Amino acid sequence: MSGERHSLGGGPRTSKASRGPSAEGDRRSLRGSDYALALSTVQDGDVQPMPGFVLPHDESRASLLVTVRATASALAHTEPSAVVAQAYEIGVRSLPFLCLVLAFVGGIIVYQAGIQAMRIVPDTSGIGPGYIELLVRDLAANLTGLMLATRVGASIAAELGSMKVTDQLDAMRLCQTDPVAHLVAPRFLACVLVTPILTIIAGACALASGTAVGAIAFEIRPQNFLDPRFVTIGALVSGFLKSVAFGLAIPLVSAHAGLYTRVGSQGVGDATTSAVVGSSVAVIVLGFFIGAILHIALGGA
Amino acid sequence: MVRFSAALLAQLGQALVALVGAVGTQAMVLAAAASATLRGQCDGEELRAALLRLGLGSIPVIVSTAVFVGGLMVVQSAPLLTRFGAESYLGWGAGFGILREVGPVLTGLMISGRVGSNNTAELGTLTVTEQVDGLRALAIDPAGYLIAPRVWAIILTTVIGTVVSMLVALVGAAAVGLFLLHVHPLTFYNGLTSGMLTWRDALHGLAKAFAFGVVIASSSTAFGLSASGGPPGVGRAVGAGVVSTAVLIFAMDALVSLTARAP
Repeated sequence: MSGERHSLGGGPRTSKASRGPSAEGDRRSLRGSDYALALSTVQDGDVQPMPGFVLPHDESRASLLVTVRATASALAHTEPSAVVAQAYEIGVRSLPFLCLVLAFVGGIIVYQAGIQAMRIVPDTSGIGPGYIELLVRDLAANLTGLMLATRVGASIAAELGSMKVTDQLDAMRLCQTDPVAHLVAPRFLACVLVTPILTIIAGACALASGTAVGAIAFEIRPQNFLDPRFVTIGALVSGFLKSVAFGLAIPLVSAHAGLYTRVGSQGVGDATTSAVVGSSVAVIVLGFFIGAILHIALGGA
Repeated sequence: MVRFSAALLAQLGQALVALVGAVGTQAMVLAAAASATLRGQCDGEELRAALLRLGLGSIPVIVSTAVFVGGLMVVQSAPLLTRFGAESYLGWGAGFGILREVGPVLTGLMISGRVGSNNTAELGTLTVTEQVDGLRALAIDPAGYLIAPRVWAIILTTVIGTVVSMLVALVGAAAVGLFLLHVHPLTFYNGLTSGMLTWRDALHGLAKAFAFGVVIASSSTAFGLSASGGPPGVGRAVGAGVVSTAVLIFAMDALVSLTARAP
């Protein structure tokens, strides 16, 4: 039994003993329905699955929940070196893009806020503290999340989708390696680890550009601008929770889109589109709910 | 040290050449679309099909994003408003963000994600399967048949989509304000129309939407038409296209914000 346990989908089938190994059966034994059968047998508890070999190939069972569960159970089999490589790919190589965007947005927001403040009361002392509070609580995490959804979501879906349409995922399954443990889990772990750090760095860029715009356009002295008196513990918690939630959601949504890419020349493009849209929507929706829940939980403070 | 700086210089030069190349390709796309339209060669059937596919198809994403954008604006301003008891300013604050800044940018990003990458994927597929060359072999000008209809459809979708999303986001903000901060919708409406926001703010947002539409159209078309290397190449083109569109959207946002005269 233990010898058959590690064979691809064939283990549970031969254990039923009623079907002999015909040529047709051998060919079919590599297909998803048998894998689903293997999974169902596993759930009955008599056969163990291959380590980390948990994602059904059966496309009709595709749901984000299945991908999430597969990723969660594959985390234990993740190689640390793969996580480091992905952290470099996701973290370091997104950094110029993130810093550029956040610096732009920070400058624009301070400029717009300054114009509005001048319209009502010609007092610019509140701009800096208000901007820093907004940055810590919402802006840094939300914008970093959106930009990572675009950059990282597209690249994860394109990579996994290309492997899917060129049958490399099936080749991995044939070599008894789990695509989820080897491809998805490292990206997931790296993204979770890297997103809060990226948020802090990108937020610092936005802060620097905002300070510069304040000093140049409205003659606010940097020492007056950089005044964190509005930043509360709640704001810090909110920003941190958001960045962690985005770091969890983006790789899962994008990897799901990539793993279930339709075969065909338009499949990878469609998968990339749905990864970008799905993870952007996830960031906006999660940002709203975390903000609203914290607002209610902290009693409006 | 010398070798290091030489390598750095080479990298910088390559990045610069790539940047100039990208800008040039996008300018060529826009020029091709404009000249095909002026010559009356913009295919009406294709334009209608592209508008239906790209425009109508992205309305669910635009509307659902807009509701949450409205809510986000209220949640963001909630601590400030409750601290100063300035609930009557909620309509102004949310309306300001939705009309001038966050509304157009987030709608632009979502349209870039949905419409732009869809466009890149379609054109990339046509390119890597050599169907664009097939069109040329049939003496059909890709500029009039493929490029111009898509460019116009994307620009129209972005502008109309931004108007829709502004309206939906304002309704969403009023609703979240009512349930979360107990600000009556009438108070919200009064704050919105108290005179601190004018039609110029909405126009400012629309100017941004137009600029974003042009950027999304040119960049997604250019990346699609320069895809190479089979289905994986299409995926790479979509990824690269979305990222550079996002950068261009923020650059345009800064450009429009800073060139618009302070009222």
